[in-house]
Parts: sequence; structure tokens; C-alpha cells
Amino acid sequence: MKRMINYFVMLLIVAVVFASCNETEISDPFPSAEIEGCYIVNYGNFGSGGASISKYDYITDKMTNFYFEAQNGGNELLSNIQYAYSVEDSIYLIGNAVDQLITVNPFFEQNQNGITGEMENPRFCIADGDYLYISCWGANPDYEDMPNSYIAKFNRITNTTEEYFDLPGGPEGMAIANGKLYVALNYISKVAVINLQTEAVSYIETPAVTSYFVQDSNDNLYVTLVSTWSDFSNETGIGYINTSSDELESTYDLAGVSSGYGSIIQANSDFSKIYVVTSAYDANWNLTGAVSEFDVAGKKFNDNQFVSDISGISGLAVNPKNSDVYVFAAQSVTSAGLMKIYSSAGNFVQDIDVGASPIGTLFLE
Amino acid sequence: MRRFVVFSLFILAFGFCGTAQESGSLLDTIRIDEIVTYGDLRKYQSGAKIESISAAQINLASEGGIENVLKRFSPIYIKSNASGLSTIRFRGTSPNHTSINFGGINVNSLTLGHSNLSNIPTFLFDKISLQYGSSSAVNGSGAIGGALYLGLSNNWTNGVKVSAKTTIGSFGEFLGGAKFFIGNGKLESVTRLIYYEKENDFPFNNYYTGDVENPGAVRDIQQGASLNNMGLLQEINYKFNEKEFFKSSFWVENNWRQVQPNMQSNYYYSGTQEISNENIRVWTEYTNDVDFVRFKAGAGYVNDMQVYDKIEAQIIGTERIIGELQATTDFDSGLGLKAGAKYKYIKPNVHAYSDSVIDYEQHLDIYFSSFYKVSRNLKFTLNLRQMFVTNFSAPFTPSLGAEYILRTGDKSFFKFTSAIAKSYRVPTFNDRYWGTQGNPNLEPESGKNFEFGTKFNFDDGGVNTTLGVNLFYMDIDNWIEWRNFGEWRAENVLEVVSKGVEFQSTSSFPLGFLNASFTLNYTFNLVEPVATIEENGLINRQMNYVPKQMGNGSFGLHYKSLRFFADGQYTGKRFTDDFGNELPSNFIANCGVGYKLNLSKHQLDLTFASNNVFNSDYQNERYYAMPGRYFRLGVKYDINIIK
Repeated sequence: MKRMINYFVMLLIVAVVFASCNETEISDPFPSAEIEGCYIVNYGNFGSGGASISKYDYITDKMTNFYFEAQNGGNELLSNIQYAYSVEDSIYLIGNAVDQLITVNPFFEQNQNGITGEMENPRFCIADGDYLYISCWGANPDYEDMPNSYIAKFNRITNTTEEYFDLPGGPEGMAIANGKLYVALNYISKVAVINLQTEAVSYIETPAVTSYFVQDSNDNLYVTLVSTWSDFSNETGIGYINTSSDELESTYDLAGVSSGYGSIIQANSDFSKIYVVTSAYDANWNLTGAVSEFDVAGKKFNDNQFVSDISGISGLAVNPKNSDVYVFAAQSVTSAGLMKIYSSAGNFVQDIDVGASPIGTLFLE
Repeated sequence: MRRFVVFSLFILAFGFCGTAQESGSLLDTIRIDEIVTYGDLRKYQSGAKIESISAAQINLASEGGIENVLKRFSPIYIKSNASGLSTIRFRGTSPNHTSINFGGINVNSLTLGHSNLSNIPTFLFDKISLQYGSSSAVNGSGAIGGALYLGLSNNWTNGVKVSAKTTIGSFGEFLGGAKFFIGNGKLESVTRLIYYEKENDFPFNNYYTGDVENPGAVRDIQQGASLNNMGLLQEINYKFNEKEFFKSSFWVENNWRQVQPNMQSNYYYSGTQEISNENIRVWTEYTNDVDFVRFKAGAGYVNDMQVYDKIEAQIIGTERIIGELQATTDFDSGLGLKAGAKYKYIKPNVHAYSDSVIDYEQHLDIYFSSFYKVSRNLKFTLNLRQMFVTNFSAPFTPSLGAEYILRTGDKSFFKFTSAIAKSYRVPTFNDRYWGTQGNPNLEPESGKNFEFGTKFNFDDGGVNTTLGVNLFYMDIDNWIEWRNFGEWRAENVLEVVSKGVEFQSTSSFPLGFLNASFTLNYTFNLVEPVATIEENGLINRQMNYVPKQMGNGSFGLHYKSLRFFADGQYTGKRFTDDFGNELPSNFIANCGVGYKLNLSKHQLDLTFASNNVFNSDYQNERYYAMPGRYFRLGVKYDINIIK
């Protein structure tokens, strides 16, 4: 009996110890219940502040504007945030004026200074292992052909930029596939391909300048083909890049693809649809925005626009949980922007005010 | 730059050659009591509120651009930073809504629609006049909120007169300027030169470091905010007789400035951009007042060019040729008539314009003005204007004014004024032709302005006082802004109402053995959009960067050759965005002393001044630092060799 009691005591102790250990191991500093949501990046007014993060809790349908300030004791975001990117438990905010890379945790708490002086006019970033590749336009860019632009290779562990790749042509959006970094060039009609092992650079010719990518489950890419004032093209739309052959295999025409900077192309979670922001003149010569829907399986744009007549369209996002489409609009850089929510069928749900110049989102869980 | 120097030398040589042959036979100086060279502003605008900055006030703030003198001595809001970017907000309107006139030239950029006031050096001008409210019927497109007139004195110098001024100040400020008047009473050359630079390396409290590891404000030094301005204004004037003369002005400017980084960028300063501007403005005018019908003919040429950050491929420039003909006559019955036409041929040279869209543009203004004096005390004025623009329709623009003088004794009188005016602004070249974003379908901005004012004057030979109150209401429709519609472009987006009251007072009086002068200005101005095309746009709230309240005052004491002066400006709080962020109100005070030494034909004037004497910590544009207390020491030397 005594042995049995001892055995049970031992078992109890072991159970308690294991239970404790277990609890320690599963303790999550960033619990989903508090983190999950759509985080809207509001660019603000270049050089004059106004950047902010809005958090939309799509479960409770609650929008919290100026979320960054609330999480950081009222401190403003002092850079205009061009792009936000999440990897592991770090969120990287690409800032302009001041040019900096800000790192925050999933609560958007900033505990260390941003990285400044290592990148000029940063635009976009993407991670590969310990490295973050950041597209930059360089100091004092020449907007004719952007000759001094580059990619900064930033070590996320040491928090330093280790290398710069010269990449003329205004690098913008990027994607990584098959060990290669694909860079959309916004001032030359090419996509740059950088082999991350050899660092060799090659190019894929495109019929128009490019801006952003979406990546399918086979690691192939769709890239936006846009017409800009400095690089006019009639062949706008999206292009399909096979990342095995590095060829532009197909292009799909779409008039008026937005030349804006931000989230202008997004796919839904199962990659059956790609949404692209466009703008065009109506019969009365009013310029309005719209979203077109590309059927990936059918390889064609739907004849009817997903949504139209959006004044001041500035970006879009697709909720990976419920496939709702969020369309952002902002005419002014000093006033509240709008998030217009549509169901995946294109039915309007509601409008919600967000910060100034919403241009993209980050979904966290 | 080389072109500027060559042109300057040419003008200088021309000016001196033109007078050298006559300098041996100098006659008496004749001074004509017409201060603003190009016409009497009030004659045909009896209901308008027109004020002038005095020569003494101009002399107190002659360093830098005209924004300094306007900020100190007028109730007009100037949005400016430290490195030489200043724009005017007359009665809450946008910078594009103020015309700035030099002779028959509106110096506003035709591409941007407005002027950087820092690029207009105060030192070059003898008088600055301000017209409040709409005057499109007189000044044409753009004069919705107000108008500035840059004036040159008529001297008809007979002899030689030289005036030179130099100022050194804190934070690398230096002004070197000279004016040469040479003439024989008939032929006159006036040469005005200015060189002005400022390093702008002032200390300030930086509240926006973004340093989360060492939070709190730090004492910082402004970087990347230098400026450097050079200007030459050459007049060649010839007087055939008392009623017939020819006047010409050649004004060349070369202005360079760095783009001031905001406080957060300054803390991590790594460099900034720079902007250079070259402007050539020529205005010549022949006036013939000999006959019953008087004539005036003017011709002008303007070449504006701006280069951003030394990138020659990104030139923004225009050339203008201007011609104007005008006839006036006055009848004994109290009726006066004026009619004229002004033609402009404009050729843009802008990297972002397509030649297939715009090669050149022509403007023709036809105008008619009249006044009618019903009695000695009652006068009405009427102005009508129709502008014609290539491929654009501008509205017909009338204005009607009235004034009544009520005499309350030998020493005082009231003047009551009232005006109704329509106004308009043709969209800028950028609005219509910039890249793919230019919008050829814009409507012209159109305004309605109602004004009522009263002014009390008292003068007993010792005490001189003027008190004035003006009420105004302005409605501007089709207000143009650049907005994002999927692509940034100009669009008619707002209807804005600006209304308010302005009070102004000037007095001079003896104070014991001293002579004192005192001015006070106060304005209360509500400026709200009442309609917007933006789905969630803010309406019925004070517009951004427009203070509801502003005031300024100045005080001067003179005792023989010694003088003391002090002035202060209050600027009320301003919204900086639609989220309710505000710049707090601020008060900037300046003071100084001066001493004038007369040595026969020579005059030496020493001035020492402290600006922002209370070291106010303020911003005119959110996130952009402004200097605290700073000092200036100025020496002005005049020599008059007049026969």
C-alpha cells in the first residue's frame, strides 16, 4: 500500500511538473485572440506625417484607427509607411521620410529604433531565411529612368544591411521563388531575376513596366503590367511568369491597371481568383476606380468588373478567412480614407473610415 | 547661373551707358506723387480694401523675401518653413488665389499657379500694396482672395543717389544690397542689386526624433535648409514731358534653396534635395496723358524656369510675351472711363507636358472700368472683364463698388465702402496638361465676394489716427485640388465659404519729446468647405492651415536720430489635417534700435534687432522647425549727389 501511495505521489509530482512544463512551452506571447485581424497601412502625407495603422477585427467588426499610437504610448509613426511585412514574430514597416526600416512585434509595439541611414527611398521587402531584401529607389531619384536604384540585403539577426545589389529601373514589388528573387521594375519594361545563390542578375522582358506580384501554389508569378507617364504602354494587364523557365509565358490584357503604389493586385486564399485595381474615365470624363477579377482556372478576366465607380481607389485586400474583399479609397492625403467591404460575390457590405491614404494590409493570426 | 550673370552684366552695362552720356547736365529732381508705378489702384475700385506696407516697415524687414514683411505687418497668413518656401493664404484662400502684380505682369507661376514669396526680395521694392478680397475684374484670373502689388517709386533722379545696405545675422544670414539712381531729371537709370544667403543652421527642440530607445525631445541643429538668392532690377525711364513718359523694368532673379527636412529626417539627416529658380521679368510701358483721352501701352516678357535637384531633364518652365493697350478719360461731370485689352502668348517648357497636347496658349483679356462721382462724398465704380483662353472658357467677371465719405469736422471723417465682385481662376497649366493626369475638363474656379468696410480718420496735425473695420463674405465654387482618383489629378472638388471681420488701426502721435507710431491688425476668419465631392470628406469645419484668429501690432519711438521699434504677431491655432491635429497658437515678437547719422550728403543708418525675442518654440508647418531667437545687425549707407 505504501509503495502504491509512493507511486501515486510520484505520479502526481511528475504530472504536475510535466503539466507546468507543458504550460510554459505552449505559452504564446502573442495569442491569436488578441492578434488576429486585418491591419491597414495608412501611408499619410509624404514628408508631413499622418501615417498610421488601423486594426480591423473582422470577427467583432470593430475598427481601431491609430492603433500604432495606442500601442506605443501615443507616439506617432514618424515615417510614411510604404509597406508592411510579417515574418515569424516580427513585422517590418518600410518607412519614407524618414527612410527607415521599423521593426515591431505583432502587437505593433516598437521596442527598438528603426534602421536608418542604410537605405534610401525604400519601397518593399521580402524575407528569405535570415535576410530581408528591400527594394530602394536610392537618394534623390531621377524619375525618368531611376538609374541609381538598388536592392538592400538586410540581415534580420544582426540588424544590419550586409550588401547592396545595383538594380537600375526603379525596383518595386518582389517575390521569391525557386531560390530567385523576382523584382518588378517600375521604370524599365523588365522583371529582374536575382539568383540568391550566385547573385547573378538576369531580366525578363515585359510589354510594359511592372509593379507587383502574386504567387501561386506552384511558385509561379503573376505580375501587373502598367502604363505610366514616363513609360507609356498600351499592353497593360497582368503577365504570367514561369519561374522554372523564367519566361513570361502569357499576358492577359486589362485596360487601366492602376499605376499607383500599394496593394493593387491580390489573390484569394485558394488562388482561384486574382483581383486587380484599375482606373478609367467614364462617359463624362470622370476618373473612377474599379476592381477586375481574374479567373485563374479559366485564365481570363471576367467581363463584368467586380466593383466599379470607386472614387480615389488606393488598394485592396482579400480576407483569407472569409474571402471578403476590402477596397480602399482616399482622395486626399490629410483626411480619413475608406475601407469598402464587399463579399466574395461582389455585394457591398459596408464602409468604414480608416486613416489617411490606406494603401495596403497585413493579416495576422 | 551663367546666363544670369551674363544677363545681369548686360543690363548693368546698358543701364550705366544709358545714363552716362547725360550725367554731366543734371537738373533738379522732380518727384511725382505716384508711388506705385503702374497706376492708381483705388481710382476705379472705390469699394475695395487696399492697404500699403509703409516704407519704414519695409526697411525693417527687408532681409529675405516679402513673406517677412507680410507676416510682421499685415493680417495675412503665410504658411512657411525656414528654408525659403512661403505661400500666401489671403482670407483663407489657397496660394493660387492671390495675384502678385509687378507692372502688367502677374508673377505667379503659370505651371503651379502661385509664387514662393521667399523668391521675391523685399529689398528690391519701394512699396508693397495689398488688396483684400476679389479683384479678378481688375487683375484677371486668380485674384480671388486678394492681390499684392510690388511697387517702384517714380524718382526722376537728377544727379546721383546711391543706397547700400548690408546685414549680418544669426545662423549664417547675410544681405548685401545696393540701389543706384542716376539721371538728369528726364532720363533715369535705377539699378537695384541684392544678394541674400542664409545657412539656417539654427538650434531647435526636436520633438519628433522617433528614438524609442531614448524618448523625449532633444536639442537639435537644423540641417539642409540653406538658401541663396540673387536679384537685379534695372529701370530705364524717360520723361518726354510732365504728361508723357516711358518706363521699363528688367527684373532678374536666381534663387536656390535646399528642401528643408522635417524634424524626424533632420535627426537622421543624410542629405536633402535642392530647387533652383531663374526668373526673367521685363515690363515696359509708355504713358501719354497729353490729350483728353489718355493712352498707355505696355509690353512684357517673362521667362520662369525651375530645376529640381539639378536634374535638367525635369525642367519646369514657361515663357510669356505680354502686350497691353489702355485708354482712359475723365469727364467734368464726375465720370471716368477706362478700357483696354491685354494679350499673352505663353509657351511652356515642362518635362511632363506632351507637345501634342500643348504647344502654346493664348490669353486675351478685354476690360472696362469706370467711376462716377455723384457728389463730393459719394462715388461708384464698375469694372467688367472678359477673358478668352485657347480651348478654355473663362467667365465674364463684373465688380461694383461704392464709397461714401461722412465728414465729422475739420479734422476727421468716416469713409464707408462696399463692394460686390465676381472672381475666377483659370486652372494652371499643370492642372490641365501635366502628363496623363492633366484634366482638360476642369471648370474655372469662380467666386463671389461681398465686402463692407468703414474707416475713421483723424488728423489734427499732431495726432494722426486711422481705424478701420471690414466685414467680408466670399463663396468660392469649383475649388480645384489635386486628389487621388485612382491616379492623382486636378479636379473641381470643393465649395468653400470664407467670411470674417478685419480690424486695422494706425496712429502716430507725439509722446513728450518723442514721436510715437502704433499699428494694430486683427482678423477673425472662418473658412469652411460647405460642399465636397469626397464620399466621406469633411465639411463645415475650419480648413487646414487657416487660423481663425490672427493679429499683429507694432510700436515705434523716435527721438531725433535714435529710434526704437517693437512688433509682435499672434497666430491662432490651425488644423493640420482632417483628424483634428492642430498647431498651437504662437506669438512672435521682434524689437530693435536704430541710429541715423547725417553727414552732409552722406547718411549712415545702423540697426540692431532681435527677432523672436521671446524665443518662441513654434512651427508654421507641422514637423518643420523654425528658428528661435536670432539677431541682426544692419548698416545702410545713402549718398545723395543731387543738383
